[in-house]
Amino acid sequence: MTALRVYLAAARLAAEQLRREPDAWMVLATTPLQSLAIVTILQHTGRDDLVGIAIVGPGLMALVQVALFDAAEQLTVDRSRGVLEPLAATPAPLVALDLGRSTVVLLVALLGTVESLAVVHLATGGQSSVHHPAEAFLVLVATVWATAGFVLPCTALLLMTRATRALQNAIPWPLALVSGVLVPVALLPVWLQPVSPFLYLTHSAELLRATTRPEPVSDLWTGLAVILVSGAVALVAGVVSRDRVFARLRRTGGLSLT
Amino acid sequence: MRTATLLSSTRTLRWSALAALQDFRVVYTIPTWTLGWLLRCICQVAVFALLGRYVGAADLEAFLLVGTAVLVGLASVSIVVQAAAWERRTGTLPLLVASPGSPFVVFVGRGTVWLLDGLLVSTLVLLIVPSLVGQAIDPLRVLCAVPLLGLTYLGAFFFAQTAAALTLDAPGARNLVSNLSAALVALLCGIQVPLEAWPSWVGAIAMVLPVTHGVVVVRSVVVDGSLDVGALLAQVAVTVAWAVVAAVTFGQFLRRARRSGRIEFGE
Repeated sequence: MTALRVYLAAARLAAEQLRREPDAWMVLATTPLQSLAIVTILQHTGRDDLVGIAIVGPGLMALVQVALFDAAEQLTVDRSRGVLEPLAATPAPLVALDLGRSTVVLLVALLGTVESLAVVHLATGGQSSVHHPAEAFLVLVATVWATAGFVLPCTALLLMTRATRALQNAIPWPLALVSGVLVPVALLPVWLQPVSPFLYLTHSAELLRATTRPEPVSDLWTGLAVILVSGAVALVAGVVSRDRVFARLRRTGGLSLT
Repeated sequence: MRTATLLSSTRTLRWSALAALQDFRVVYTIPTWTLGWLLRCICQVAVFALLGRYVGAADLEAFLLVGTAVLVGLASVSIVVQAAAWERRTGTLPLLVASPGSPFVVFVGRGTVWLLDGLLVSTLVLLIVPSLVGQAIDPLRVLCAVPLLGLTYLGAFFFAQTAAALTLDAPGARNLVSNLSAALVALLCGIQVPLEAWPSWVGAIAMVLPVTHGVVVVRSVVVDGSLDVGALLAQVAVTVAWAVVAAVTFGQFLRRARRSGRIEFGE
């Protein structure tokens, strides 16, 4: 019951903060432009068969960027307002707090995919770019879950440093490269390819690209299972690592000083 | 009299640039700049270079590699919009408006560090990414293109200063204006999307935007190993024009601010 109350309170707070601080979802202002750039390149070069990547790439990037931006901003604000100390001391389940916040933030971040879809729809003259909408929906739901999990270890990492904003900027594009968010992993440099299967975003991008092609989506359930398990593993790793960071900072007394 | 004014402006420019360097050192240390900013830019450029390979059109990989390398530097240059608004947050803007010197010179000086940051990151990315993605770009050509990149970013710098002057009255909009203006410039100036892909009226607008000709010149040197003199002259003209627009826009802001007295100390 306490967990549910914390979850709902965190969701309400996040909704209110997002309403007042549009900077948190600033990425959504540029996501349609990125989709437009990619779809125009593809149409100009006669590769209309690939327009799906103009939805998948910018959409997934928006999801990760908004989630990480919010995590870093929240941490910065909590640190500056002295909220970290009560957070470290509270008996409330912090994971409920994280998930409540993530639910709202990631729902807002999903608008990036909707925007990309709209841009591509308009640019292609109303042709259907997603051939398997039900499968795409399932993959997106799984990806939202995995992203909520992925953000937690990142938060633990950000907690250990003052360079919060620099790190927040550092993560999305390396992740996009190694996960093959915009292009298949097979095109990456050979030495990077072994890392890709371990990232949930690799499977999300592959499945979502497959939903934009007419042929049936192969390995859907396996891919979904990998994404969901990756999210759960990241969530557990995030909770454990944050607890350890908090424990260390309690010991050193450096919570607001890191 | 003119010599004294020039000397005073040079001194103001120097001190503003040095103050900006201290701001920069608050934002970045060498490790966070390298592992945070530079690594991010390398990956962003590599992603788009690989997109060019995936699409498979002739020369698109090099086109996107060079274009996106210019783009990541533009992101740095665009920070001058936010940096100008910081003056308001810290309460120094009213003092600048009231000073007998030229606040525009101060803003130019304060922005220089972001201009140089963009130039450095873009140059390093152009040197590193080709070997990462297996694209044959001669590092010597990249080094030859550095002054041209600098000229291109100078145009973008004055464009961003214009946007900064327009948003000093509305500091809450600084991030939106900075991000959107950089994204629109990236979209319409032939950085990632070839100009021929747009309708002719978009191409006409692009001709007066701050980096369109600069990207052409940089590509001519880095990819083709030749210098497009026509585009170079056009970039010089556009840069001068945007410098004038920025100075006039700042002048109007200052006159408005002094007359209305609406600039408070801090946001």
